[in-house]
Amino acid sequence: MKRYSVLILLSALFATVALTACKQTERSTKLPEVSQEIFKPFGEDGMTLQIDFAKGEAHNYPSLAIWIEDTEGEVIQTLFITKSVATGFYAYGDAGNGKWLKEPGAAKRPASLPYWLHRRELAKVGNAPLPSLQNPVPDAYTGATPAESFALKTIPFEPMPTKFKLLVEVNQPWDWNEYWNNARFEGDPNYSSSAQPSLVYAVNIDLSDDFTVYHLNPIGHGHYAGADGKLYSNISTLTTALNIFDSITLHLSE
Amino acid sequence: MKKATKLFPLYFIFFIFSVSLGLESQAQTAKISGKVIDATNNEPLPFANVLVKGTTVGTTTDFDGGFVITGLQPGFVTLQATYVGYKNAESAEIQLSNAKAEYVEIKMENAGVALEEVEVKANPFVRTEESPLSLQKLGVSEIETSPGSNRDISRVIQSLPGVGSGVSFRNDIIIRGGGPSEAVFYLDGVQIPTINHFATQGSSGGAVGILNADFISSVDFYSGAFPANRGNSLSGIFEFTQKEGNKEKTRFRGAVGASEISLTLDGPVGEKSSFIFSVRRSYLQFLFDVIGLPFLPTFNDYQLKWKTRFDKKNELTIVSIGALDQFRLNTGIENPTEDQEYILNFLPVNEQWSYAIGAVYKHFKDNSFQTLVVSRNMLNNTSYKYPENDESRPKSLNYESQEIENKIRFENNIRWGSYKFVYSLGGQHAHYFNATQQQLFVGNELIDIDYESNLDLLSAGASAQISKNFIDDRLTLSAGLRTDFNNYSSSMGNPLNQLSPRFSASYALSEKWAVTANSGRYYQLPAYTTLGFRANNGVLVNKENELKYIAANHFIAGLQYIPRSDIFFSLEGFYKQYSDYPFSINDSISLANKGADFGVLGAEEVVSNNKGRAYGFELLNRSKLPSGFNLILSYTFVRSEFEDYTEELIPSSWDFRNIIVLTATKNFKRNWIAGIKWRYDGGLPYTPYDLQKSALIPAWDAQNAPYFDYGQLNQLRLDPYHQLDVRVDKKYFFEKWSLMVYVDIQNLYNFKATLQDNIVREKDANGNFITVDNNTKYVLRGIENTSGTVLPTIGIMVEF
Repeated sequence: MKRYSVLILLSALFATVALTACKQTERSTKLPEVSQEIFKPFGEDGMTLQIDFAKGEAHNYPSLAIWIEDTEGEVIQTLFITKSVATGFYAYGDAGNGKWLKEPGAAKRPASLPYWLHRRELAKVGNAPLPSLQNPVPDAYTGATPAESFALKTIPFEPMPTKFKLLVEVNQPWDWNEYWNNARFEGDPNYSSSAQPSLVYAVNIDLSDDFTVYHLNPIGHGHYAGADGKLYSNISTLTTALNIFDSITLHLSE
Repeated sequence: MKKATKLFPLYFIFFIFSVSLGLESQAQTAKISGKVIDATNNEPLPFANVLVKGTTVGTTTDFDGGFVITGLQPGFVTLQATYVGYKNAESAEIQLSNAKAEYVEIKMENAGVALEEVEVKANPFVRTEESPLSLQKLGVSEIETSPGSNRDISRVIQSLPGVGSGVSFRNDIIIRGGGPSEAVFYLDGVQIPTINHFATQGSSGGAVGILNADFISSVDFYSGAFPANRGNSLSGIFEFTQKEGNKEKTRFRGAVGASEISLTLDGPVGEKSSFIFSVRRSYLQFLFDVIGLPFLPTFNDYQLKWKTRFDKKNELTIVSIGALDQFRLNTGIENPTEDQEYILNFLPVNEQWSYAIGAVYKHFKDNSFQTLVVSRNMLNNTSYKYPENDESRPKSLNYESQEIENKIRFENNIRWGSYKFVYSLGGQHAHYFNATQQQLFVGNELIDIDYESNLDLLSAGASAQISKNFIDDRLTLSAGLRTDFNNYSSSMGNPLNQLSPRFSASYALSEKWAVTANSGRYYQLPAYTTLGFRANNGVLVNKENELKYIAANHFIAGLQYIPRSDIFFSLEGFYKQYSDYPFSINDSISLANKGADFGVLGAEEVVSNNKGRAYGFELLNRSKLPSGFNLILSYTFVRSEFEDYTEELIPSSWDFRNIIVLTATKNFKRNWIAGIKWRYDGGLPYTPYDLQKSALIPAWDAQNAPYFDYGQLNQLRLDPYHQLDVRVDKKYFFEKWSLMVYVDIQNLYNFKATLQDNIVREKDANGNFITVDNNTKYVLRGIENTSGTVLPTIGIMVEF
């Protein structure tokens, strides 16, 4: 019982944090050391966004989407998307019957990053809900998610509005826990390829403030099988998914 | 009052179950993690599918071959793994609880096909290329819940097909008509000399098993078709695989059984290592004293396994077991019965300690793995007897012996496509010590045995075996060659004299039917007690007698039918042909007839000229159904014959003729398990006593027991023996701990096996022994000797 009380309290805390994400303030915490920097300037000039990802202890080849939205929730641009999700082409292709080939191949994994996938669909980016080799994600940096802590340094296409939102969705298969256990949706292949559902981080940025560093916090999770694009705010059932990254930090610079 | 005392166990059982009914599991959140790896090169297999057998619950391995499955019902589970290009595989059976996460490795064999799905049905009865028949596997559920075994591994393996058990109070292992000294034991690849407390030196049996059931993950039992890298056995090889320590947290398991208390601790040490360690101590001496048995044994043991994975290519396992067996006679019994007095008079005090420690280093390459095993084991065995148990008199038996073995073995397992090649090289230094003072009455005279023997023996062995699948894997052939030699004598030193070829074949007639066959010639070194036996003048008489390795030719053919992956039928016919068996000079009988009694086997003059044979057939059904029904039903017809002194084949002491073993368990809801075991052993032959000789006062006084009339070796036969054991287990899986309670009732219908009469000396009214013929003879009388009683046991295990 004690354990559940703690979980409920944690949920409440996260929900509060989510609601107040727009009021994030600068903190002068020690910045994570990154072992790799990806520099991808989409625009020629403008504000530079550097997003630092500090690898957590549960980090195990996650898929990742990073994008920006305006205050109305319209996608402005996808900045980064894990290549396999962007192309629907994975290191181990789908052999059917829930089994995997020993070689790269196409696979459909709607549960990998469902929140981003549906936001993208709403924004009418691309012609199909799931990217594929024939219909890859355009206009975003795509690559393998780095295996260590890393930084994405980018200049978006368009100058940023005064207020915007930075979002990150992360998910990795194999991270079953007591709640999101293997028997929970027995036989659902999409759930099987996700285990704990995707976790969505966000922060609201107001350039009228003078803050240059923002910390992203979890605000919810995606659908366990990718069936919809809703954000489910109760993340008390997530455990190791919260430790894929220790921290996600945005640095703004001109 | 007496009735109430007798009923106490039943009250207690009722109490335990009543109380425990009020407890129930709080959650069903068992978790298992693990890794799927290539069996040859130890490389992790990413994106392999792992499924809980009998369900659709499963997962896929990650890039490092790892997996986690959560939300499982506690209890016994088996995992199945499938992966493109690999043969389907099953894990060892695992017992899950809510309190701890289990870890398991699933090893998959490359099918030599790159990108195709290979539908080789995995089943729990799977056999190997080298041993496509005569190989049985027992899983953890069969060990943990075996009725009548009281978690004693040595008893559990007596329920395997073809294994005769001898008398009920001993753990002898008599396989397909061979003698009880013809089996060898390996623990995680380390050969251990004995698996029993109060072991019979030179043989396999003893009183109680040393191996702790908490450690054992599975048992592979070969009753024939021995792989070439395993030597020195004529009838059976047991490969015990131990569990690994928990990878996540240290945990504790305590068990209180009928005879002993045990504590087991296991857990991680750093990121790369884990350990599991246990100690046990019996309290049999208190129980035996209360029920008035004339002997009071106490056994103690420890068991350890340490495993370090340095990286995915290198791992080290250290295993060790040790036993300390203490013993005293219950001389404080007031007014002993004739039975008690008989036992007190002849039974010597026998104390032992032993240990074995071994390190197994494995190195994996792309298509092979190498194993280096270094081990040492030692047995210290003492036995003495005071006449009439009067310690003021000189001992009539004073025996002290040590056996020390230091071994090294290298094995290389190589896969080339569909070829499998295994070769091994081994060496051993053994030291044997024996100091014996004893009087024997041989022929018509009393002789004093007084010798001390030190023997150092260097041995070596080498083997090679190649296996290959043909015709779309329907035909599998395997051929092996082995030799062993030592510096005991020039005959034994010639490796060509011990060439040991073996050949196996299996052919799948259809998906469900297969025929199998094996033939092989096997050699076994006679016991150190025989090798090191010296006459009073210090001469190694058996060396002078040109003692040889004992040889056995095996011919086995089988038919197997697997209608489903969880149901297995087999019929096997076997013919074993023994030669060069040691033949006792004193008793004029083959040593094959001895070895199932406490004490020492083989410390006597012998010649290697005895022949024998064992033959018969074995019908087996094993089922492990998803409903939780588990069945082992076997019928063995076996004839065992060895030559007598006239070189005529006569039934040996292990000529069971008919052995039936039925073991059935069923898992019910709410973690109840019920099981029965019914065993039927045909009556064994026995040798009548030579009462004339036994009555002679010096003869009787030399051993306080009657002498056999070996001129009528095995001319009589005991009645068949049968026994029903039942067992009920109830398990409670709480969030932080587990409680397991069982009630085991051996010999439910109280079958009394009639054994050969005990012989006592008649006394007069004053309690003095009556003598006749001018004080040269005692007057002897037989008293009925039966064995078997209803034996209820309660076991309680707590794990957290």
